[in-house]
Amino acid sequence: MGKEQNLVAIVAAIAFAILPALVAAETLTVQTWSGVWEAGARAVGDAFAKKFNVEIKYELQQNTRLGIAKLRAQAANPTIDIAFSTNDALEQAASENLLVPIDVKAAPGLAALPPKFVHKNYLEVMNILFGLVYRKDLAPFELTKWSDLADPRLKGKLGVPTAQFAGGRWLIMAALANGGNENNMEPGMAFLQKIKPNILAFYATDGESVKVVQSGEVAVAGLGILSDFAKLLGPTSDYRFVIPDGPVLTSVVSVGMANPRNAALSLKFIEFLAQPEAQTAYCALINCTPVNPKASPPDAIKDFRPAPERIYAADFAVINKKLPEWDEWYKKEIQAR
Amino acid sequence: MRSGSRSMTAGRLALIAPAVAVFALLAVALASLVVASVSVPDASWYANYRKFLGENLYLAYVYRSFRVAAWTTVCAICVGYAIAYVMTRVSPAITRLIVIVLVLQFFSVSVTRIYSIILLLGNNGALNRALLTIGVIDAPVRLIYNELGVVVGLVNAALPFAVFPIYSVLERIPVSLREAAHTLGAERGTTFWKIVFPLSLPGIGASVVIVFLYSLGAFATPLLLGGGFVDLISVFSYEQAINFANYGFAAAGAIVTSLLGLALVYVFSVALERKAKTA
Repeated sequence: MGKEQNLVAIVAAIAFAILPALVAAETLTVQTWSGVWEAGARAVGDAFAKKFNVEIKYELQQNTRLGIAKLRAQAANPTIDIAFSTNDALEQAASENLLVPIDVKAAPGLAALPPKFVHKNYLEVMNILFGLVYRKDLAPFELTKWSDLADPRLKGKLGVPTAQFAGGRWLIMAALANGGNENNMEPGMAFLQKIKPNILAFYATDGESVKVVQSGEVAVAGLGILSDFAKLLGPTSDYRFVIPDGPVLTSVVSVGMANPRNAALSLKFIEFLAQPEAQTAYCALINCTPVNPKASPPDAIKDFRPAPERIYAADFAVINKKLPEWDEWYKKEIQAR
Repeated sequence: MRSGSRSMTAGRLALIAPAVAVFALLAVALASLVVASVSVPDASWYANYRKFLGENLYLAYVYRSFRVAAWTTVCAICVGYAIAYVMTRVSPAITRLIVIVLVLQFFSVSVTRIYSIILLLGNNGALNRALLTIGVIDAPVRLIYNELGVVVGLVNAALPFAVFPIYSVLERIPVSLREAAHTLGAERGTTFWKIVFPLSLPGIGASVVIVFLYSLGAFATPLLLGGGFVDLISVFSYEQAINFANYGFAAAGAIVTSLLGLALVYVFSVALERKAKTA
């Protein structure tokens, strides 16, 4: 009798373990960044999973370019269905035929978005803001403009990105702040030479930008993402996030479908993500601006949102092509000691 | 008898099969690296190598990597030898404690360990703040975001690799040899340099090779403790392969550095073997 009872218990345990998998008929694998980005993706993914009775698996990417590299590596046999990335990175992925075209007719819910956000191979879903970050307790003065980064009082107190940070946005911002752009980098290069004596360290990812400021090693981060620093801001906080006057750079969180075998379910997911409820939930965690006009941005970033005409639409086809050359210059002239 | 020897051969083959599989996988991976480095669309097969070897910017990665690896090896062996020697002289309980500490360090998450070094040695770190407080220094001393910081981080990470091979050799040196030397009037220093140290050379040799090659390929430590000023060949390979999708160029750099590293290790091994034979 004892053995029979044990057998029943084992069978019941196995059935209990596999039952959810059997009941959830379909699976979707979503690739996203870790930290707050994962929290945002899960908020949307879990709601989608509940509504459509599917199972969502999450794969984390250390950074945007590594995520695209994973898509390249799996191109012959895709396992990632949905890739959260940035618009410039997905432009690159699309040019390498790594993404499944979006069948807009099969996804009427995408009409909720202004057409400019629905591309042939990816969907723009949220805007994240860039600015400079400093600690009031460590910085010798209150920074308000980009040229403050060259102030001699910041000698040895400045952390700045590498040239490859955020798809080259640091270099573009340096150019924009000095009257240049991606087709005229000279003003940006001159500015970077000016701030060179102030640089203590370089950071390659947004995660490192937070850590280098939090550790107190630098007083100022030359370029940071509001979504990363929002949780550190507040009326009693020493952290300051500043978007100086002039053109504003954003990064556009975008999604693409990478697995043609699961295209139908993936399309359903991005259609779900385009709706106001999903956008509001995602942005509440990421502190970003949704692209759906009916979605609400979180209160935490309302004071930072620039007027739309200030947002600079960089040409990433040009940037992606020129970035290797700019990176070589940056390493020789700015990083070399 | 024949069936007995056949089953023994089959048994031996079964035992080495996993190792063969691993080496085969490694060989395939290395071969694909070589193929990638010479597959250059619309250019000669050596274009990646010519670009890598022809630009000071890229040769600097190699030079810097070897310099950092060399310093790390020297420091790690010095510290590691001292620890290994102490382990042979203290009680078994303390030896076990040291082993536990080293093993814990080995298995600790590298990024956590690196950030703890930043919190300790950074400009705003505990050491600088202590020195400023007691008035030894007027301004923070830059201990990280330079080669010093990278070497400190790598020594910290590589210490277990330095200690264990040396310890395994030291503990096998018969105590009677030291006692005989003392009996014949040799002082401690003489006993160490004339007897213990030469006999420990195989352990030192193994540690040098492991630590050197480990440091040559290190990624997270130079990336985070170098602050962007001490980019080594690993960072170059990562950036070229992942950020620029330039796999061939990344492979060329990695192959050049690996071949140089292996050549150096070979020369060192031959020299050490000759030294050990004459000792």
